Amino acid sequence: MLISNHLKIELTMKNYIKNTLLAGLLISSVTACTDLDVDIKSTYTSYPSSEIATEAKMADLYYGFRGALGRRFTEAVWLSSDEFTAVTYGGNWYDGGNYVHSTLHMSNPDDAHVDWLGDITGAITKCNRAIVDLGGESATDESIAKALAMRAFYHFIFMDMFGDAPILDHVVAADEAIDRSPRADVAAFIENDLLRAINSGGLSENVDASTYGKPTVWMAKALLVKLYLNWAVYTCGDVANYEPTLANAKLNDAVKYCDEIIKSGKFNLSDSYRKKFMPTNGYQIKDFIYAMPYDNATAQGLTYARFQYWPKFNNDGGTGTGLLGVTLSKNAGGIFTVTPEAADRFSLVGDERNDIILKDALNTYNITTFDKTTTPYMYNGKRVVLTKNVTLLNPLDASMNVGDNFDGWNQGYRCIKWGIQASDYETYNRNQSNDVPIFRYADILLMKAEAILRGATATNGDTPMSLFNQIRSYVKAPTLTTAPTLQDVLDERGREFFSEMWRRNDLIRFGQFEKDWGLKHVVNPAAKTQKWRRIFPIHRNIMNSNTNWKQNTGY
Amino acid sequence: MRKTLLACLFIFLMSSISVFAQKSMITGKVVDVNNEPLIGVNVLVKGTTNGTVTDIDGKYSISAPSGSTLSFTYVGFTAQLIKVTQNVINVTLKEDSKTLNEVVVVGYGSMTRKDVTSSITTVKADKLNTGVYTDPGQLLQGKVPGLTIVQSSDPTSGTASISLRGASSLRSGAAMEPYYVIDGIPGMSLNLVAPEDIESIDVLRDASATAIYGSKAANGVIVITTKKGSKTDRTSVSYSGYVGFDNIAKRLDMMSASDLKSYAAANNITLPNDKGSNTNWNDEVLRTAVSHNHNVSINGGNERSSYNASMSYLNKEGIVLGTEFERFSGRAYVQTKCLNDRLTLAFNVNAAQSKGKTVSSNKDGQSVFDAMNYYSPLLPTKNEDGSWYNYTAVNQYFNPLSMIYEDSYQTVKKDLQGTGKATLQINKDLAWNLNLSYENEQINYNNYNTIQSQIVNTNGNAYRGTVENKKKVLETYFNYDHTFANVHKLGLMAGYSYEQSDNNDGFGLNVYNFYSNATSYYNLAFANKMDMSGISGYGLETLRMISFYGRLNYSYNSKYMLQATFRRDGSSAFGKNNRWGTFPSASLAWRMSEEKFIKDLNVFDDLKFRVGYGVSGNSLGFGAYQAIQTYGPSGWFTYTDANGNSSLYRTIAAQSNANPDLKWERTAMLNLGLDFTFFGGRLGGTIEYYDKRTSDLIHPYSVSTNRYPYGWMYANVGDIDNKGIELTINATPISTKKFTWDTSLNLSHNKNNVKSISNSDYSVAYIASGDPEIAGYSSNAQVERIMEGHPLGTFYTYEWAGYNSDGVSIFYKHDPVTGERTGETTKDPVDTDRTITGCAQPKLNLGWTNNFKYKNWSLDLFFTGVFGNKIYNATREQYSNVSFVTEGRNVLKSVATEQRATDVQSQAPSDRWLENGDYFRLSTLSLGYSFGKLGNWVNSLKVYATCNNLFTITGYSGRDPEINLGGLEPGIDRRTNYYPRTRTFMLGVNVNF
Repeated sequence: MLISNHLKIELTMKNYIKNTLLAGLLISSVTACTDLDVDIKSTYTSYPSSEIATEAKMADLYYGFRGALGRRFTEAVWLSSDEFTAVTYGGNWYDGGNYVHSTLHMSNPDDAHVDWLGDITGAITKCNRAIVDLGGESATDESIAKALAMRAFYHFIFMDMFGDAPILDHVVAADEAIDRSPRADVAAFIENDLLRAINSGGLSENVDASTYGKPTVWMAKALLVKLYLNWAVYTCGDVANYEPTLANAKLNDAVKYCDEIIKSGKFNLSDSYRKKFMPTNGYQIKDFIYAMPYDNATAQGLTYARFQYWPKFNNDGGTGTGLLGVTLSKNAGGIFTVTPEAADRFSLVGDERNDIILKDALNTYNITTFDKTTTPYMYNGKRVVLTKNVTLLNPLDASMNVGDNFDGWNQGYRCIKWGIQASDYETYNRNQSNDVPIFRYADILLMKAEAILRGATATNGDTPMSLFNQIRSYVKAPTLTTAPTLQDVLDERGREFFSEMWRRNDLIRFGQFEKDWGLKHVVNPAAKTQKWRRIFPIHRNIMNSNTNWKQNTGY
Repeated sequence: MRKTLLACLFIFLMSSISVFAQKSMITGKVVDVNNEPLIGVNVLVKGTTNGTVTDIDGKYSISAPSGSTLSFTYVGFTAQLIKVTQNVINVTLKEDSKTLNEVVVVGYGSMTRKDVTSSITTVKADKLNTGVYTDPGQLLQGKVPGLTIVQSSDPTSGTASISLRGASSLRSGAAMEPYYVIDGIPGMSLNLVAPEDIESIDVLRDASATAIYGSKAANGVIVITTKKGSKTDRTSVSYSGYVGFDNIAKRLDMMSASDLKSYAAANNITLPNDKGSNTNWNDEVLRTAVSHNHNVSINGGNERSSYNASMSYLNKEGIVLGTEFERFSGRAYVQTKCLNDRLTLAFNVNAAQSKGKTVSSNKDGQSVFDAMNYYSPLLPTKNEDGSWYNYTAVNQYFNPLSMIYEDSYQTVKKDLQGTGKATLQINKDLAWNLNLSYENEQINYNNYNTIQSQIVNTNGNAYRGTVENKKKVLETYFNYDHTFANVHKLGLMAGYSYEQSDNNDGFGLNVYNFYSNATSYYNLAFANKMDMSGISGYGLETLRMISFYGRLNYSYNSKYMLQATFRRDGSSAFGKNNRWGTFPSASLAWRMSEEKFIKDLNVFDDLKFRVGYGVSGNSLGFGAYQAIQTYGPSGWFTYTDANGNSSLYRTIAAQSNANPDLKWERTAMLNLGLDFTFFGGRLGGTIEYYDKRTSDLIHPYSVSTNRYPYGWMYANVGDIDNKGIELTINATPISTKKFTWDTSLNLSHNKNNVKSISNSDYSVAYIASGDPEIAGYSSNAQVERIMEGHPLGTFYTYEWAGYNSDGVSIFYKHDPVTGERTGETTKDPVDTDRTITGCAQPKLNLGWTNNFKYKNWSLDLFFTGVFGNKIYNATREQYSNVSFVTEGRNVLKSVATEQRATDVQSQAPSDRWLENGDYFRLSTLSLGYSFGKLGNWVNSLKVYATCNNLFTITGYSGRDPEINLGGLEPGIDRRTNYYPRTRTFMLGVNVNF
C-alpha cells in the first residue's frame, strides 16, 4: 500500500460519512422498496365535502329513474297498456322480441324492457348512504326528509312494477341477506316514509326553479295519493286476485292529500296542452308537481320520438322536406304505433289533445312551433297516409312484422306529443330535452274525482263532474253536464296522460289490463286470462345477483 | 499460474513421448452421415502443431505415431478424437447437435439447452416469419406449439389475438396475452423493436419456466433478444429492405347492379333507390397497397467493447383507402468492460415514432369495412356537383367513400426508452446485475369529421387527445454459478424488482361547428361550440409492482437437473388484505441419453425427460384502482344558489366498489416433456403434456345495488382448466453438399374447460358473450355462453329447423326445464330454446416449416392450419337478410339461390350461420438467392421474393377462416371492425458491407 497516512485518514472519514449515509439510505429504502401505497391523483376516493357537492350527492338520489324513464321503463308500461302496439319492419326492430313481447303480454325475464331494476335499487342504496352521511340513526326526519321521499318513490316503482320488493331501510351489510317483502308491507313502508317526510317539515313547499325535479312536499303528497288510490291493488295479496270491486280503506286519505295540493294554490292548468311536452318545458309549467328533467346534452336518456314518430325524417335523398319540415340525417325507428282503441279516444270535438295523434293523410309540421302546416307530407313522391289498424304480413304473427317498406311504415297511427329539436337528431344521438312529468295537477284533479266516485266523501264543494270538467275546459273539449262514470274517468285519463307513465297502472286498478285491444288478444289469446302478468318478471341479471329471490309467479 | 505450469509440463512430456514413438503415414477419408466427402476438415495430431486439411474428395494424409490421437474438427460438426491404431482411418463426422448447446434465455439469466428443465422454445431470427410485419406476434405465428396467433391485415394492428396454451382468464386484452420481456426489461412496448433488430425470441411456456416472472406470467412469457454487436474487430454495415404489394385475398360475392335488379324483378320487390348506377364499391374502396421497409445497421466491436446502432423505416399502406401505417425507429447500443474487465456496462436507447391512419369502423353503419359490401351498387359515388352521394332514407347507411375522405382518424405514437445495465463480476462465480429502464410513450389522437361528413352532422367536428404512459423499472439480482468436482453444476440467483407505471395521463377535447374545413383538427379554437361532455376522461393510473425472486439450478453431470424458483410479488392494484402473492415452481429433468443403458442402444443422441410444476399469476387487464371505492362525475344537475341563480354542476357517483380482498389470479401448471434427438441430430423433437389450472379468476361481477353503491364489483371467482398436448418434430430428411431439406412440424391440442364462474358470494348462471351485431337483433343477441363445464367460446344459439309454410325461418323448441328438444318448432324462439351448437376453439393447431437449400438457392414453405373449430359467420348472416333488398342495401349473391325472399327471421342467432373453421394454408412461400461475397466491397448479398397467404384449403364460406380466437368471444366473423385479409407479394434484399 502506497497511500499516505494523511490520505488514509481522509478516506476513513469519507468512509464513515459514506457508511452513515448508506445506512440511512438503506433504512429508508427498505420501507420504500416494499411500499405499495401509490398516490391516487385522478379520481375521488371519498365523496367531496363542499356544499354544492352535497347538493350533487342529493341530485344523484333524485335522478336514479332518469335512464329507465327515458326508454326501457316506457317500453314496459306503454307497450303493455292499450296505448301503443309495437311492430317490426322485416327483421328490423325484432331485437329478440323485446318490444313485441311487451305489446303481446309475453314478457320474459330476458327482455330488456325489464332490465333496469338495478338503477332503482342502486338509487335506494344511495338514499340510505345519504341518510347515514346525514347522521344515520341520530339524524332528524327533517334533515333526511328528501332522502326519505326519494326512497319511498323508488320503492313505489319497484313494488308497482314487480310486486314484492325488499324493504331497504338501511345500508345493507356485506353479508346480510335481503329478502323481498310482501307488496302490502312495502306499501305500508312507503306510506310511513312519506308521512315521516311530509310531517318533518324538511321538504320544501316552494315551487320554483330551485325545487324543480326534486322532492317537495307536493311531490310526497302526490305520491301518497297515487299509493292510496291503488291501495287495494297493492294490499290484496296475490295480484291475480285483485278486482276493482275490492274495498279501499284509504280513499278519504287520498282526497285529503289531493285537497292539500289543490288548496296550496301552487299549481294550475294555465299552460296549453301541447306546450307542456315540448323541449322547452320546465319549472314554469304550472301543471307539473314533479317531473324528470332531461337535456339532450347534459341529462341524456330520453328518446321517445325515436320510437313514436314515423320512421323517416328525410325524403329519400330526393326533394321535399321531411315530416318536420326539415331533413334530419338520422332517422327515427317508428315502431310504436298508437293502438286503435287509444286513437278512438282522441275524437272529442275541439279537444287540443287530438293534435298529438298523427293519423291518416299527413301534413308536415313546423319543427319550431310544432304546428301542423298545410303542406302534404310526401315521401319519395308519395303522400304518407297512415292506417288506423295494423295489418301484419301474416296474421297471428307474433313477431308483428308489417314489412320494411312504405306500406309497412304506414301501418298504424303515431304520436307526436313529445316534440323534438333538430339538434337532438343531428348532434345528440336522438337524445331529447323534454322534461317528463311524473305527477301533474291534472292527475290530482282526476284522482280526486275517481276517489269520490269510488266512495270517498266529497270535500270543498268539488264533485266528480266539476273536477272532470276542469280538465275538459282547459283542453277546449266539450264539458259534461252529468256526473262522469268511472269508465269516463278512465277514458279521460287515457286522453290526458297518454304516453306518460300511468296507463298500465290505471288499467290494472280498473281491472281492464286483460281486456282486448289492438292485436294483443288476436295474436296471444292467452293474455286474456294470465292475470299474474299484472306484474313483470324480475330480469335474469337481477335474479343472478340476488340468488335467494324467487321469480314472480308465472314467469 | 501453477496450473499453467503443470499443463505446460504435461504437454512437454507428451510431446517428448511422441518423439520417441514410431511415426507412420496415416491416410483416410472424412465424410458426413450421407457419405458426402467433407472438404477442409482440420486434422491434427493432438498435442502437436502437426496438422492438415482434407482435400476436395475429403481425403487426407498425415504422419502420426501409433498410439497418438488424431482430432478431426469441422465447423458445424461435432469434433472426433480417434486413437491411431491403424494406417487407414476413415471418419464419419456428425453435424453438431446445435440445439443442445444453444443458449436459452430463462429470465434473469441464461443456460444451455441441455440443462433446461422446463418448456422453452427458441426461435432464431432466420426462422422467424417473413412478411410485411410490424409486431412479434406475426413473426411467431405457427412457430411455437401452443402459441395461437391470429393475424390481421390492418396496417395499424399486427395481430388480432395471441394466446398461449388456451385462454385462462375471463378478462380480455392484456389479461389473456403473453407477457413480453425485451432484453431483460419486462413489459416494454413492442413498438420499439423493429423486426430486423431481433436476434432471437424465446417463448417460456410452462409454469416452471414462467414462474420467475410471477404475477405477470400466467399466459406465458415471450423474451425478445436484440442484436448486440460483435467481437470481431471489424465493423459491419448491413442494409435490409423490401417492397411489398398487398391485395385483398378474397372478396365477398355481393350482388352487382344487374344481379340486384333481376332478383328484385323475380321476387316482385320495388328497389327503393335505383339511381341507375353500377358501382362496385369494393373496387372503389380497395387498392393494391404498396409497402416498403428499410433497415440500416452498424455493428462492431472488439473483445472489450461492442456496439450496434440501427435505423428503420416502414411505410405500410392498407388495402382500404385511407388506412396507412408509418414507423421510424432507431436504436443505439453500446457495451464495454471496465474495472479490469470486471464491470460490464451497457447502454441502450430506443426511440420510435409511428403514425397510423385509419377509417371509421364503428357500429351503426359507421364502418367503411361494412359499407363497402352493403352499400347499393345502384347508387353513384358522387353527385353531379362533385360531392359524395348521400342516400339518407335508410337508417345507418353511409357512403363508404365519404367516410374515407370526410372522416379522418390518426394516431401518432412516440416511444422513447433508455436502458442502463451493469454487471459486476465480483469473483469468478458471483456476479451482480443492475438493470434500469425508463420508458415514455406519448400517444396523440387526431380526428376530424368535415362539414360534409355523413356520419357526424355537427358542421365539422374535431377531436384531439393526448395521453402519456410512463414506466420505470429497476431490476437487480445476483447470479452465482459454480461447478463442484467437475460434475456438480450449481446456479443460484436472487433479486429484487421495482416497477411503476404511470399510465393514461392525458386529456382530450371535442369541438364542433366550424365555418370551414380549412383548419381541420389543427386549431380547435376555430370551432363555434364545445360540450363539457366532449372532454375525454383520461385519468392518471399509477400501478406499482414490487418483487423478490430467486432461483436454484443444480445439474449433476448434465444428467440429472433440478430447478426451483420462488417469487414474491406485490401489486398496488389489489385489495389491502391481499397485495402480496407467492409464486413458486420446481422442475426436474433427466437426460436419459447420458445413462449407459440408453447410450448402449446407440439410438438416441439426446433423450431428456422433464417434469415441472409451478404457479404463476395474472394481474393485468384491469384498472389500477378497481379494488378501492372511487367516485366520479356521472350526470349533471342544476344547482340554484340563494340568489336564485342556476347553473349546471356534475353529479358525483360511485365508480367502483371497494374490495379489500381482491387478490391474484393464480395459474398452476404441471408440465411433462420429452426431448429426443436421433440420427446424429437429423431427427429430433419434443412432446409436451400440460395441465393448467387457473383459479381465483378476476372478473367484474354484477352485484346487487341493494348492497353496494356501484352495480359491478371486481372479485375473485371461478376456475378455468386447460389441458393439452404439444408435439414438435424437427428433421433434416435430406442433407447433401448441394441440397438440404430441413423441416419442422408442430402440432398442439388444447382442451379448455370453464370449471366454475360462481361462488357463495358472487354468482351468475352463465355469462353471455359475443354479440354478432346483426341488424334487427340488438338485445339478447349473444351467440356464446361462458358456462361451467364447457369451454370458452361455446356457441349457444337457436337451432335452425328450415322454413315454415310462409317461407320464414323456424327453430327447434326446447323444454325450458330439461333443455331437450320438444319436437316442436317456432318462428319466434325464446331464450330457453337456445342450446349448445358448437365451439370456437380448435382441436388442433398446426405449423409446418420447410426449408430447402440448393447451392445458393433457398426455398421456404411455411404452412399453418387450424382444425376442429366452428366459426359464427355473422357477416354472411347480416348480408343474407332479404329485407336489406327492400330497404335499399346490397346482399350476397347467394341470397338469390340460398335464401328465401320471405324469410324475415333469418337474422335470429342460430346454428344456421355456424360453419366449420378448418383450414390449411400456405402461409409463406419464399425463394432466395445468396450471391455470397462480391469482391472486396460486399461481404454478402441475398435477394428474396416472398408471398404470404398464397392459398388456403378450407370449407369455410366466409372471407377468411383465420378469425380472432382470443378474448371472451372467439370465433365470430364480424363485419364492422374486420379488416379484409390480404395476400402479399414482396421482394427483399439483405446486404452486408
